[in-house]
Amino acid sequence: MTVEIKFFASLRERIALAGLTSNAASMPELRQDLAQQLSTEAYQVLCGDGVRVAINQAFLNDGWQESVETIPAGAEVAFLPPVTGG
Amino acid sequence: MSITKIKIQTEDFDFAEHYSQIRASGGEAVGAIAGFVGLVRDYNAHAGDGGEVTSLTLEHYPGMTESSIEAIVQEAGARWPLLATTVVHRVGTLRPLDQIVMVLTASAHRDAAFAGAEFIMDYLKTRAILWKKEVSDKGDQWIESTQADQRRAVGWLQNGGNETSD
Repeated sequence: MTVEIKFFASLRERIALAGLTSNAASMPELRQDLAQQLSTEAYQVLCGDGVRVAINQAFLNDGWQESVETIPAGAEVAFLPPVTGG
Repeated sequence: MSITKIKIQTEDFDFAEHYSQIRASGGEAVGAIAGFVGLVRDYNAHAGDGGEVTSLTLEHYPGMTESSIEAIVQEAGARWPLLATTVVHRVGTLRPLDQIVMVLTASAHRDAAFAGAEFIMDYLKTRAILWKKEVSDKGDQWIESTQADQRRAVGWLQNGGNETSD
């Protein structure tokens, strides 16, 4: 069962990719998969300061690089740079 | 029960229309309505190299942006007795002097209405799921959250948020 990965705003533009799909069932699996699917430079962009991950629109409690959260089948996993609204 | 209206939209908004609605929806207990409208500024605050901002592009995450603003409004409602709140935030491409954001708060008294609106604006800057990109004659630049904005949001946790913004 695939999960949909989305990249927003500056992340999307810097890695020149709006999203991809993965078969990862947990955050450790997703890290491994992203490291394979993306270039080293693109992966480093996701590792930048303040980048947060939301699974089905709920932020992870831990940083995404440490998280051991499971990812439900069919989930949407979003990578979000620091926000600048208002 | 407080009434909350949150809208994320590309089209412009009419302050008078939303004011009339919140005035009607707040009920007879409403004694004060505070309103704030933010406009797109006409300078490039971040590049500092004289690049003139020609437009601003705002991006959001449909669903999550609305719920992030809902959480801010709920927090304001827990601090002050707000009877009704309206937040309208535009996304897409905006030009200098365009309306970008509006906050309306209705309460029995002005203190809560003013404070609630200011709190919501400060938190919109740091918590709402929105991203701004400036388009100037020198190129595109994603805006970074300023330290002054962060301090203002933190200020509410410590002493009520009285630092001046830049």
